[in-house]
Amino acid sequence: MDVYDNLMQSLGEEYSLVRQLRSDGQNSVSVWRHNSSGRWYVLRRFEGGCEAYKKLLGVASPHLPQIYEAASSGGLSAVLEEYVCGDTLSFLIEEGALPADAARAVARQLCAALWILHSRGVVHRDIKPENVIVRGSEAVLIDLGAARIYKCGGSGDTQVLGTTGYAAPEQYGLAQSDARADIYSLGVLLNVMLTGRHPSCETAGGHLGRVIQKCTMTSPTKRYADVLHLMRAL
Amino acid sequence: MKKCVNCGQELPDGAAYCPHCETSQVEKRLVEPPKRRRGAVAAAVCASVLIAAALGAALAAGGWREGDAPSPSAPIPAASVPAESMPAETAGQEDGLSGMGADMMYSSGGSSYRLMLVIDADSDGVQVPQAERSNTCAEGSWAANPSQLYVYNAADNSPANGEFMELVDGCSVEALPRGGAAQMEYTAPAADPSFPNAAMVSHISFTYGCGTNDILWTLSMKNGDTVQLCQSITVIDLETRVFTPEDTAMETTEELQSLMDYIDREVPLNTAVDIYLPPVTYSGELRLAMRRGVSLFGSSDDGGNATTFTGGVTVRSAYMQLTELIGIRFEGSGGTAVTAGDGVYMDSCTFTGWDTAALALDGAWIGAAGCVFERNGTALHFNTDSTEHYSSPEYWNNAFMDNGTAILIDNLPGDEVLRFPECVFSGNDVDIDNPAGHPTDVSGAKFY
Repeated sequence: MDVYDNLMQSLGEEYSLVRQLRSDGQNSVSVWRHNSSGRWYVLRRFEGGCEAYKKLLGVASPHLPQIYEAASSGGLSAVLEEYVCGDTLSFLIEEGALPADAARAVARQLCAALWILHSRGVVHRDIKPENVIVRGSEAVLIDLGAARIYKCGGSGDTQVLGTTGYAAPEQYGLAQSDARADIYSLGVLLNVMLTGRHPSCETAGGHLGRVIQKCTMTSPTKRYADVLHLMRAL
Repeated sequence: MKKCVNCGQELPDGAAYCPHCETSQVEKRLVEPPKRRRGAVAAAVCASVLIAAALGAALAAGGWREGDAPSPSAPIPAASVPAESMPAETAGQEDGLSGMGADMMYSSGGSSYRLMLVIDADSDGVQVPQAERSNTCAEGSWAANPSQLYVYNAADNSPANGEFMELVDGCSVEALPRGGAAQMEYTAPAADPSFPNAAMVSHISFTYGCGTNDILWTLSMKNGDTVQLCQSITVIDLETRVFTPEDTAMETTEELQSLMDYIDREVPLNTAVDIYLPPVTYSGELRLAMRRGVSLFGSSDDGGNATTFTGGVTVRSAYMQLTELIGIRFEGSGGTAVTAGDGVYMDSCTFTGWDTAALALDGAWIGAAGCVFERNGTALHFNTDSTEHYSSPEYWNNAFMDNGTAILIDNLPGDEVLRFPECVFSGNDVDIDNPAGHPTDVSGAKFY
């Protein structure tokens, strides 16, 4: 029995479905509860490979959900990850723009999460308020559904993924999106935290406004070279 | 098939997790991005006193980082933060925590101990308690101080860390902002090999605008006593003067040298200096500002041009200032690319063709991250009497390729361990030559 089958069998025998978060054909996200311990988990099932998740199996970070298992079989993947309890950033922003210190703190924590992904060759590609959960004083970046491994010299992402408005311009074109696409999205997110609006409508002022402008340059070469430089600027 | 490391359940080969007992089958490692500390200078608030302080007072650049520093944290909107996790309001917060200091006596079981908190520690001898520490911080930068606990026998001042810690049940640190300040970040106190004479160390990180925090150490003793010590750290915000090609002539080495002279003459010492260089090649030697550190940012254009130095750069400031070189190419044919007479930190630079890429002389320090050192005689050369480490002793993500010697440590006092996480050493005649016997840790590096 392979890892995928073992995981699915165990879920059926030793876990209970709490609720389905979303479902779309072969792709679904659901919450499960271990019958003995009562702990909650998130199960992601999707078409395609799960290499991005496999790279996080040995990683512990307060800003990424723990990935317990990632397995594929027959073109389908299943990932069992930590259930992160908290409010989404989108919910918090609905109540109003965040103070600059809080927005900066969230952005820096997301930089820490992205550094882990980027240092493993993984680009998230879908950074948006719905994919950030605030757990106490920690911001957690979830949902690697759009993530992929970046290969130097690769040509073309075959799908346009990411969320309109947050996705970097190159994600809509022929160039393969690299880590700087995440920097673009994070710049947009930071602006939304500060102003409630996309930077094309209103850019935050002051030092953070300049940081946002550099993050959201159309040409990736003009953005921050990596998230560590962005972290420093923040 | 294999068996779960915990419950013995049969698992398929390659399983990372046992769904039965919920035990990970792979080692989980806490991963955090490297942090850089910018050298911080203790200073008074008055400008004239600042100049005097810069010229002669004891300016100490303290602090560094370690791999298990906490994630950045700051107050998140109150709606999502439980009340008990908000920073505590304490009486007399404007003036610091009343009744608590950085130096105290404690007696238990017939023994008396002297406990003290220090930031700027001497390498040996009895330390001097330090109730306050000021640091300057430019906008957009951050720095760190190591808050260290020392314990001595009250009778004879002999070290008593081990004996005292046997009496301790638990130890914690908190950073308590004073009136309107932002909370500084801090690590859980722990023994630290880079501070071998301290009982425990907590690294306190702060940014521009942080204000003053009281760093409160709480020791829970096994006999039920609670011991508290406190020291304050204050951040004095530095304004930044920015020079760009659009507003300042800097197309040639001569123009750049004139700018350095202008900075020394006209820019107050309590102002940080950022210089954004155009994508041109500078030939000839350049001597950086004499009275302070500056930050030089290189650039590139679509035509493949990039900020390049073919002559050496000398960092000649004194008084423990930090110069930063970011995103600059150094292309030589012999000689020394960067001669450091003070603290230098190099980020995302490339060095090729030098006898020595970067040399730390007496009073100096060289740090590097994300740099490439290729085909040099020696990449990094330490020949310094300085025990002050202006920036993190973690040389993260550097590539040392086809050099004669990658790292040469002729003289480097002090105990802070030089680490090389994510560094690549390839094709060097010698990777690390360490006649000084300075502690190094290459466990995070790759050697080919």
